[in-house]
Amino acid sequence: MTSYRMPPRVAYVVPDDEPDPPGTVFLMQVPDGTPRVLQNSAAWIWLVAVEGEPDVAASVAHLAGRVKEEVAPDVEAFLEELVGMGLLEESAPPR
Amino acid sequence: MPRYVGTRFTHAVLQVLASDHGIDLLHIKGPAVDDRLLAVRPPGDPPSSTPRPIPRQSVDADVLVRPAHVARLFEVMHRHGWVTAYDFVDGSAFEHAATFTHPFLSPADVHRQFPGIEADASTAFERLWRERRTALVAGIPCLVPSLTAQRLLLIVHAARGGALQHSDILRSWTEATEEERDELQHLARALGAEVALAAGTGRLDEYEGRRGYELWRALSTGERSRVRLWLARVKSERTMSTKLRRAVRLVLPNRRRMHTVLGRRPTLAEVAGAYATRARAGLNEMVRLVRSGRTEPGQR
Repeated sequence: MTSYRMPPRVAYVVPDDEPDPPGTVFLMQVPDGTPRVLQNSAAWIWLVAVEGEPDVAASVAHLAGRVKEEVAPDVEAFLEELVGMGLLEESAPPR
Repeated sequence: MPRYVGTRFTHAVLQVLASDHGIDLLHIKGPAVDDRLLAVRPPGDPPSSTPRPIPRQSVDADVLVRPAHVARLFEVMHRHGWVTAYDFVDGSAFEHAATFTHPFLSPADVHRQFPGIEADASTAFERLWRERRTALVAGIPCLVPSLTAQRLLLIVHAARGGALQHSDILRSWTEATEEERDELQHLARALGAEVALAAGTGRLDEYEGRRGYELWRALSTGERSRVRLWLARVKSERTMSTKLRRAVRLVLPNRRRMHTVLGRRPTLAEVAGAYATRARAGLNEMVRLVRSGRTEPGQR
């Protein structure tokens, strides 16, 4: 199971008065990235991942009221995409 | 992207640029303000059942930069897509801040000094820098003044805008403990900001006769007469040469602002016309003031 963390040069803003869990998060690689907005399950995936949660798919499935097997492929693909965009990074496995 | 999101990203970007290039700057006002100085949403007010600070909304990001690092910061900002909208001399009569714009981030106001702080700008910055703290803005650790210094800046800023009933003054002064007020006054003395602090906290009369008294009386009472403000600003300057410079500067029309309004460079005729309009308006106001026999700032 891969754990993730927020890269040091990613700024993020969860809009004020968002419910818990927030449905929107704005991200930007500073200083020169383009701001992006993640919404609903995309926001949950990023937020859960940067918390260091080892089983992101299970947590997101729980939030969405679905079973893990239904969401896991999409979650894994999106995590890979976020890493590719520099908005998430894999944390070193515990020794 | 909501404007307040852009403002927070601007703070984060400026912090990273400053850190990368050895530039000392402090984030002031807006989202950099300590939670303890924010209004609090009462419990039970949805969507939270517990008291929560209400984030400050700002249209731009304010930073105070070490004066010796100003040129380097400007150069770095220009390389990263920022454009100077207004240089120091184009801004307020205090000439304290330059405004930068960016294609998608919120504007940045870069302060080289803070109106109301009369100590030498480099000395004042060093004092604030020595007591700096870290605050998270958009998840990025940003350097901010101490809590006491933040109180001072908020009070002085509100006083400058004539907002003596502002909630910033309530939380930073009225609700402060005796010890916190003592610390605040001690810092104000060190920074030469006693007059401005007094203006914001209802104690300005204690400073009658001090340089800056008339200016801060005019500002904090929301003086609208341009002539009275002009007189007070000129009088508050330290030396004859700065008095003269200020006097001329306040009468001359600002070409860069005219450029912004017109959408093109103003012609010589337009600049001359603006000068004549300002001079005529000032003269008319002066005549009115003389006729009314009230030329002192702040007396309305």
